[in-house]
Amino acid sequence: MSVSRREFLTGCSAGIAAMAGGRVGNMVFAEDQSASGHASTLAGTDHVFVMVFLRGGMDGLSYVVPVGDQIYYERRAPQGANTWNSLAVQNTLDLNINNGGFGVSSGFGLHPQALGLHRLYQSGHAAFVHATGLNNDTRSHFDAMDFIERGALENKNAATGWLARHLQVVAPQSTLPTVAAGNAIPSSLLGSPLASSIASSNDYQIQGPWRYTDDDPTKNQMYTALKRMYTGDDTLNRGAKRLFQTVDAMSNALPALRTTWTSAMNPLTNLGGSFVDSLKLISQIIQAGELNLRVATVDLGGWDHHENQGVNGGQFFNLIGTLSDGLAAFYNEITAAGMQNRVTIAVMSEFGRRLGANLTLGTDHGHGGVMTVLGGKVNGGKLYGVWPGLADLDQSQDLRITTDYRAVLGEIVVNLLGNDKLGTVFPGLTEGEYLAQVRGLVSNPAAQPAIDYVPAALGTTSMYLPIARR
Amino acid sequence: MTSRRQFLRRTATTSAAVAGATLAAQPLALFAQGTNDDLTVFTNPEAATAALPSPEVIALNRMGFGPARNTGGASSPTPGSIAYVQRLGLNAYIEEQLNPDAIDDSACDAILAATTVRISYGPGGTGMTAYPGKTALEPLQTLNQNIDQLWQRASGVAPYQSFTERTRPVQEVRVATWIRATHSRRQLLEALVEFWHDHFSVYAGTSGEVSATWPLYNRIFRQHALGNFREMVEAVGRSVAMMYYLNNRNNQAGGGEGANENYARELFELHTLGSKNYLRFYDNKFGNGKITYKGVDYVRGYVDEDVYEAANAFTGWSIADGDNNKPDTGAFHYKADWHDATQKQILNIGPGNNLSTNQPAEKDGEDVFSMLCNHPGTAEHIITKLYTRYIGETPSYAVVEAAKAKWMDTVNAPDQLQQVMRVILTSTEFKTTWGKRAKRPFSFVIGYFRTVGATLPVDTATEGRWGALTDPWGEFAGSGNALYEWRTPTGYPDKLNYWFVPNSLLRRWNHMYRMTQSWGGGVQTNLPSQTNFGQSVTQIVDAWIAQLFGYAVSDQTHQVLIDFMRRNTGDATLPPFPGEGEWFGNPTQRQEILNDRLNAMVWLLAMSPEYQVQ
Repeated sequence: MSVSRREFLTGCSAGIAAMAGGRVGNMVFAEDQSASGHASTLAGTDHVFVMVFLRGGMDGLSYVVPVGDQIYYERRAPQGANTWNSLAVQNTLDLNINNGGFGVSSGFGLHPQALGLHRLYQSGHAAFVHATGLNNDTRSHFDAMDFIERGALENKNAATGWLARHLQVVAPQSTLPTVAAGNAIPSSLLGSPLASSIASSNDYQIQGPWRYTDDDPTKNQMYTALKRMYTGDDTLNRGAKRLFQTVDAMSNALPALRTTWTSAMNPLTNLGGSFVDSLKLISQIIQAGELNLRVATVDLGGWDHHENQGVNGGQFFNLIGTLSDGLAAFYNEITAAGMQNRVTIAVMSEFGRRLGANLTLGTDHGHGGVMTVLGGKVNGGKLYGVWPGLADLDQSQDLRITTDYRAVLGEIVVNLLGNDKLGTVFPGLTEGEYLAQVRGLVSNPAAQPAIDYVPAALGTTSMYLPIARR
Repeated sequence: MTSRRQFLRRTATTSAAVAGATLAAQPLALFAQGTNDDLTVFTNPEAATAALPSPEVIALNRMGFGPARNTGGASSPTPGSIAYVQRLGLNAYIEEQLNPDAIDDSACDAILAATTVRISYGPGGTGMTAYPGKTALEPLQTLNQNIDQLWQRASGVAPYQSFTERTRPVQEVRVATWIRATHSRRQLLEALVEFWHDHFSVYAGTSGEVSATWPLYNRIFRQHALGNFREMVEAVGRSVAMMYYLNNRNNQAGGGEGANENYARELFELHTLGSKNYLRFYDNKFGNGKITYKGVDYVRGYVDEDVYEAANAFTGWSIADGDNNKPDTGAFHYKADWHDATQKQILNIGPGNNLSTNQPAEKDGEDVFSMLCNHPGTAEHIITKLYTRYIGETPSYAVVEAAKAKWMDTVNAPDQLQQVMRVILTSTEFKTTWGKRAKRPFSFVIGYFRTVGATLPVDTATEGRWGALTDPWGEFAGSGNALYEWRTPTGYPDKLNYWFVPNSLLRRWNHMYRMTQSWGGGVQTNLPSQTNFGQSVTQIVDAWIAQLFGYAVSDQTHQVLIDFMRRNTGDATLPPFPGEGEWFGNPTQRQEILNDRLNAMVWLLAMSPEYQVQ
């Protein structure tokens, strides 16, 4: 086992990290950063960012479909294919591209199950970015997710996630600045002292014999004792302390949370499933404004369709319905609460899938995919990116990536989340890679800020060899 | 060569262990102040909470699911208790556990034999396919069944038309796993079976076929956990569970995008070489170099082209599922007309075909297994995972290298994994490392049940027990570790920073209360009956610390528990007594109050920082 630079770097940052961890709980990051000259020149905003991650490699070509391209049909609809075994999507919903820079002016359609998202696109609230993704050759789900969520092209073991670094820069003054819906905290929030996870707002408290517990945390004797046991500063103690802060915050906001979950107009209540449960939770917390939520993460898995993909009925067809119905209902609810201009949702996956279908009516791991961006401040109704076509493929088999995923997220970070330290959030991202094709994706009320790019300082050397590109 | 990280971590460990013994009540400053770095929020320094317990306690925690409650005193201690290992000696205990077949496990077998699990479903189907409903308590019956029997369930033939009947085998394995983890004397075997289930993770809900044949999948790990790795890899590759989960069942030759790569990719990335040896895409796959281990050359890593070729090698490897003119028996089936018989280049250092044209049936796939399992990169990948599971997150170079040498020397031996495990478990690092591994919720809950001598609800005479809606593992799913329900092929993580997050911590801490309620699983734990209420508050707390931990907890934890038990203001040198506002009119009511407080105190002990790590 030889020494790798990556291992060395990880070791160093652990040491530095222990020091930073001393600040957990009192949240005085803003001061710390101005002292070290790293505070954003922007103030940070009260905007809420929701990151929806589609785990498994979502087939962007079956979602925003190049219906005008003959190659697509040649590769996705083998001879003798019918509605049920063809991987060419039928009955797509027309999309007006509305983007002179895209490369083609027509020939795209949205999957028919994405009716809700289609309406939001038509009305200018939703946008798609095509041929986007991670500029790295990996076809491993787990490596690709790690690269993306840690915001580092070459270091899947970077010590912190991109959302963690964003939160560190903007230092929100809030009792619940970020929530991961579910049990786990995704790698995008890795290392953030603010990260918390909530699977459900029900029973979010320590339970035990009635004599020694209470719905009111201040009267819950077991809870009080538990808090006294966790005063250390390792991974466990930090997790526990973050739990206590979350219990306190949720408990204080309980009246407001109850109002939102009993809301008669709540269009989410009639939908089921864990994805919708997660969106309901996030919606509740956003609407209970006193929690001052800034960043939420939600996962929707099950996109790894190597077999029987079922774009016209089946696995993929149903999942697109789950995604679109959930997002549309969530957005409707936020809009009904008058908060759509304060919320932006971005949807992405670790990679797209191979253009050619395999013989089991599925697709294997590919590269370029689609991102969806949704919100009142999104300049929607437009297909962003640059279409590379299906004739000139990456490694002769995949949709090329013409827009780095970090450019899309960076546009949101700078213009809506009030953070101009883009080089801190995405180390190594340079002006040249901050691609013009997503400029204007979201509206910035203020003038275009000067973006602070810093050179890659985090794990630019890894054990992998340089990416080979054709 | 020692890496800087290993050096830093080792230094930190030493200071943690020393400081832990003397300054346990204070937060430990493990690291000197470094330069500021705006890219670092923080990472996860090692858990530094606990003092170093005795080697016997360490072994019981990490070679299994924690010490059992001793009901036999010092003269005839309960197997699996701390006193038992002390009496036997650590090395003898390790040797005992490395030879599970020689352990008399009749007590656990008797519990399994007496276990009944409720099954309940309504009538279904129509006309010719109509079937009646059923509500019954049935014994565990599928655990030792063969494919002929289990495939009937998979196929849904009478009397197994109901989906509940098809998924019943998963439920039986789950129940048996809980019982064995709690009661089996073969603790290392049970822990290894859990490890290998994670390593070759399959989501049991993939399909009815996977659910119905789950006992066969479980038995692969029971059989090979201490056997030969290559044999285990191959058995997994041929199993119904893996064939359906990663689609190789339908993998067939064809030009261009023909083969289904799902299984081949995870075979390389997860089961054998690991992503550390993934070199991704190469224009010239022979340009990626070689490594030499003990005088033998091996390719430095694998590239996408190797995955594509391996996918071709496994074309035709299928299950007799009744489709495409295959028999319908559920057995492994090699479908020759689906196989790509052309020459292949897989993991070779230079140009040339190492799998020739028209090899005998199944030979291409077997060659791939051998190449992967004989590669030192596979040894290092698996040993690093074993080290992480059995010792902690920061592998020692010396132990990994020693285990790797043993692995490569015994690559064809039937007891390869037993020999490798012996190297790991008898290392100094095993005995001297503590607190660097998270108890996952399953280890946490089972460990608690073992130390308090819990009775799992196996005598299911009433509603609300195994198999009903309120079973313990329905409740247990809340903390995120439900057995066989991890969706991706990676298996449940072993990282501290995965498990020590708010929602999972909260739900695990509520398990002690919720799972012992009738609506939450009905696990029986009579804590008051194990308590002498005539003793002082301090004596009671200390007795429970001895029972749950077997070593001293920090002064801080100790004081919090005493304060709770004496209700903050009581005299800790006197027996516990109802406090201010705790009304009682007679001795029965008084005892109810004290029982509640005792339960809460013991649960708090299990919620303490010390109890979360091992």
